[in-house]
Amino acid sequence: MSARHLIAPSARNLMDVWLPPLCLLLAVCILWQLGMSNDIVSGMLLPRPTGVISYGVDNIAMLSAQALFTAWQAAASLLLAAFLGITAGTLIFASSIARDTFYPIILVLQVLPKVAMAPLFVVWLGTGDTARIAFGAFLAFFPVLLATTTGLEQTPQYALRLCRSLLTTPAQTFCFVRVPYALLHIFSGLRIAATLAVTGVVIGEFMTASRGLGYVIIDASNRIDSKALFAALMMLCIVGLVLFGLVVLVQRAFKAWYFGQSNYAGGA
Amino acid sequence: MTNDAVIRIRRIVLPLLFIAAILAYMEASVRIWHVSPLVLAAPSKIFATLAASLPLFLEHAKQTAVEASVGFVLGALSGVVIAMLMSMWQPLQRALYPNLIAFQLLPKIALAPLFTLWLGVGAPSRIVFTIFLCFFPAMVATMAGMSSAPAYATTLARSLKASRLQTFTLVHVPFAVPFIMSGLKVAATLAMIGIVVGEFVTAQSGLGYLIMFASSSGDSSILFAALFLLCIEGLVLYGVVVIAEGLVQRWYGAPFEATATL
Repeated sequence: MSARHLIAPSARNLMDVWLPPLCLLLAVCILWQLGMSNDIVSGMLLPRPTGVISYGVDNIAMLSAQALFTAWQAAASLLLAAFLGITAGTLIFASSIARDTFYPIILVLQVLPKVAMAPLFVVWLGTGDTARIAFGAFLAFFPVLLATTTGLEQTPQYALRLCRSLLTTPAQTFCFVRVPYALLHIFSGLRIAATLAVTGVVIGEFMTASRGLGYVIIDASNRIDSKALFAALMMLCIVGLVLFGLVVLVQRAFKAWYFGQSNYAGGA
Repeated sequence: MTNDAVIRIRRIVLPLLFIAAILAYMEASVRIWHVSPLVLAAPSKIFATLAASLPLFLEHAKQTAVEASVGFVLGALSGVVIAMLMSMWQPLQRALYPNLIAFQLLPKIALAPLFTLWLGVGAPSRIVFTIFLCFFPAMVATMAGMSSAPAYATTLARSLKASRLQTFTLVHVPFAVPFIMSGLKVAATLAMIGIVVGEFVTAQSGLGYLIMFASSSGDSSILFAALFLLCIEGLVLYGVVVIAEGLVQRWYGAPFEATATL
């Protein structure tokens, strides 16, 4: 079950790869709907799939406004994290003092439950958008940084030896050899960061916001309105997937721009 | 002194110096620049608070630690078992695995209120939420590990007429162990996050509750003290997994390099 199957679609691959998971999904939904219709589970706890969809359709304006609010904050924190993470990652790669100082600390921070620091951001930055964006960026920053440093370090030896024998300047080696090899890593860091940015913003909204999908989710949970809760969660999934998809698109565009049509290192 | 020794000392001293500088800066901001105690607490004050009401802090810490451990063990176990079932039975893998992978792209932590809705505001909802979070890294790592046995090993097993079960327990599982352990490390981190977010949303006790309570009470030293304890718990849980990894490797005779990174 490799990526090759997903890239080259044919009737057979469609059957092999996409059919089984979709069948299972459909079966679960049908069982769910039937179970609800027979009142096995209370509708308060679990809405019917059709109920969620009709709620979503009825409230599409409200839901998409809230989703947009969450989405732009998540996008802002992702951009911030990407900028800071790539910059800091490059610095840590370039300076051995910075690396010796910060690398151990960052590795320990990776293990700690950083999410628990959310209330600290509220205390420092207030209950507005700034705190949520900063918190999302804080969560998303670390994977970008680590991916950048790791990527820059993993240039193959033969490429570096070639550079040396061609007498390239350090700047040339960095721009034309190290960065292209690092791109694959950096973008995989950014994909992780995209999910974390949404997570950070939503946790921020759980605690402080009066708008956004996180607020809708908490509000629905308090009112035991499972239809609204599920519809908001669906919207959140869409926001998460769109942001993730944007990173993938940027990666493609970047790759095409950086490598032209040639097909060597750093491809995904 | 050799160059190597200098570098080794630098790697220990520099991070400690940086942390000391931050602590000194926190202390100075409060004492000299009179930053409000709402915003920042001096490290000396944090430890004084911690020492003054240690039994209370430990009571909250204990609840969080117990719930996180239970959630971690059950979540990791279910992840490993389901991944092994999927790797043994192809149809299950083809139907289930893509659906589970899709979850990886979602902000799963945002589902916390759903568990409150289903299971109420008590410990069960937090533990089940943690199981849910821990399940995924354990499952994904095990899936990757189960297919990591090199072709020569499976070919050898076949030419020795090993049964399916023997191939599974003697070839696939040992090769999967380093992957599983690195998945468990991710799961250990998520276990702490799951419990704390659960406590943010619902709890009446526990370190997450303490953090939330302190952030609105105007005394940030409680907040920092609770964060400090939480960090220690996170490190301990992670350390336990690292020790377990060492033991498992020794038990298997460590024939396989732990090359798995997730």
